Amino acid sequence: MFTIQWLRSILSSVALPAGVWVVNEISKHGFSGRLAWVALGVLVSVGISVLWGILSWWRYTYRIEDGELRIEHGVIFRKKRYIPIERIQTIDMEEGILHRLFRVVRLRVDTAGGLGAEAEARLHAVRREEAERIRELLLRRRQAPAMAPVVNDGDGGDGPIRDVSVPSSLEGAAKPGPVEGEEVRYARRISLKELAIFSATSGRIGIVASVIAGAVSLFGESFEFIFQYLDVLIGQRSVLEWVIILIPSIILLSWMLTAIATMFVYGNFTVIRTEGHIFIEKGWLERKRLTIPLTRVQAVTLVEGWLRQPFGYYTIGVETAGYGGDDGTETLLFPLLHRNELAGFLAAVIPEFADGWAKAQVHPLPLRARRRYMLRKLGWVIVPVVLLPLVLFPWGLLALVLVPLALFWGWLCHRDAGWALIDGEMCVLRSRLVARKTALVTRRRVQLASLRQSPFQRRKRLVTFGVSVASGAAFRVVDLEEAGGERLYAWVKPRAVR
Amino acid sequence: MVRDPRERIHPKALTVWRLSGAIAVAALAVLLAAAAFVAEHVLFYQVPLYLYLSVLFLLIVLGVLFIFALPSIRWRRWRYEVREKEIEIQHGIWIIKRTLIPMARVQHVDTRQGPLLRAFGLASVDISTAAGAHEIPALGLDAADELRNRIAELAGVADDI
Repeated sequence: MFTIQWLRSILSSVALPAGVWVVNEISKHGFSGRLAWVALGVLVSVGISVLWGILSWWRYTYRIEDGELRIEHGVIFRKKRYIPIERIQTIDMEEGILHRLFRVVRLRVDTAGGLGAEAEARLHAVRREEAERIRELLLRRRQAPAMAPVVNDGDGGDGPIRDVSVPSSLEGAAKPGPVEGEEVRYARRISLKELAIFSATSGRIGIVASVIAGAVSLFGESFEFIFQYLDVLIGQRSVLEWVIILIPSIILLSWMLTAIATMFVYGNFTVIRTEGHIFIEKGWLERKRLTIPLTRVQAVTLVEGWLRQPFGYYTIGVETAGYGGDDGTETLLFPLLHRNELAGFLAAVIPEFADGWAKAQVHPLPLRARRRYMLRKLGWVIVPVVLLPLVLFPWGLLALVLVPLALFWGWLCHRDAGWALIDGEMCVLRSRLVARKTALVTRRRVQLASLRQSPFQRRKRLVTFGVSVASGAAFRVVDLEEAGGERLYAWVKPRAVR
Repeated sequence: MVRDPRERIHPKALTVWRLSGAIAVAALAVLLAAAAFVAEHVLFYQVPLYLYLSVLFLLIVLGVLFIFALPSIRWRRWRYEVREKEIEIQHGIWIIKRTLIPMARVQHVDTRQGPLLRAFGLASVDISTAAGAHEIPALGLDAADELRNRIAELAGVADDI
């Protein structure tokens, strides 16, 4: 555990920025006396982080005492966290690359938090056997907090897995077939094809592109010699030509990088459903395991990304209460699934919500709402459309093309919006911002419902309906007809126990 | 839309809102005056007359809005109703928003009093669910306590259906 702490603290806090800075300096000034100072600085900071790492490890203790998991840590500010065992909902194990190297795991203990799940404890690096021992101890005192099994077929096969074999990286420890008394009902691993499509179409290049662009501009000086080299190679070009070459290259590069990164994060994505829990495992290098108690699922979202929708692919997410996935409270249940398999998957993994997909007859929005949708999107582009032609005449006139685009986008959003009520137990709300998103919410999970109406809406007998679930997420349909909104609103009201 | 919720909030709320509107506008006026002072005497920038006039005009408009017009609209629109199985709240000036909270989802209820409310013997009631909190502003102190107790009781027995 000590070594891991040590390495991580060095790498994350010092080495990377120091390394980058050193490279920059060298390229600027060449080797000189300055370098000696730089090297000294780096050495000192490395030494400090090593010391710090040792100290924090020394002062980090954990024990199980009096029905509580007790963790004390902190070098300067001592922190004590005592977690009653009954409150422990899930115990997960994670492995980073470094963990795998040293054959340790990171143990993560979660409790039933409310909105801000604060009671969470992490043992950053413990030996596998030790992790198992802790788990046994904790389990013996309370009812099965589920421990995620590791499914490792090794071949990244296609399609559903029917038998879940022995977790190979938890050798000798856990029994096959996962959780204390809970048999596996269903398991599905993502196929390579699905993973590839998912990674290639994630449409998140924006972030990576801006990072790359930022790096280029920041270290532009250092890259001058690259440009000179390229000049020799390709021949002299004007600035404009360089820009024309550069922008698509940056886009292409960032697309490739995001796709590759996504594949690593979601590699071997597997969903396992047992009697009371859903387990999710993902990652090629750094393998993460998540546990979702079925009772915690608040809502299900089916997202059709704009690049994926034409091919009939859905991304399935769940909203959970008190237990977050990667970001916030929405957890990815499955990255990419074709429409044909959707009904079966939902019925097997989250049957409570399966009807929401199978039986939904979505009411579309009334036609009188269409103009409002189109105008709203037009509002988004009004500033550039008006300003650019004035400021950058005549090229600015190109901005006018945004107008039909915005109107079309608005028309599309209107066409895709809709709602449905199923058997009095579930509501289906569909809308589009960029991707088309269908939300399935059961009545018992609705924390609150709202109807909004502006004077313009009142004139047209339109209303906006929204529901919120325990995770804090809200789903809404804008500009549906008044009668429909009132029906949805009335549906939320509790009834007498049957 | 369906029938409005029955109850209104305390009439003194109107006074409180007018007062806070007046304070806000006064604060803004002081800020702008200070800025003008700094501009004229420290930066030696001669503020043109039309600027003074338009700012004054703006302040008057804001004053009328926030002290006279808006608070009364707001008060008239504010409604709530606590039934056995749900709480309904309706409010809004331009956009009217209506919220339904099933009693079984209420996690806890608090009353709250800032200095302004306290001066008028009012309090607001905060209703929290897992998805966030909602406020019924400005009820009489007794009414607020009573409401809180009533909601707490109903929420305690509410069946999860």
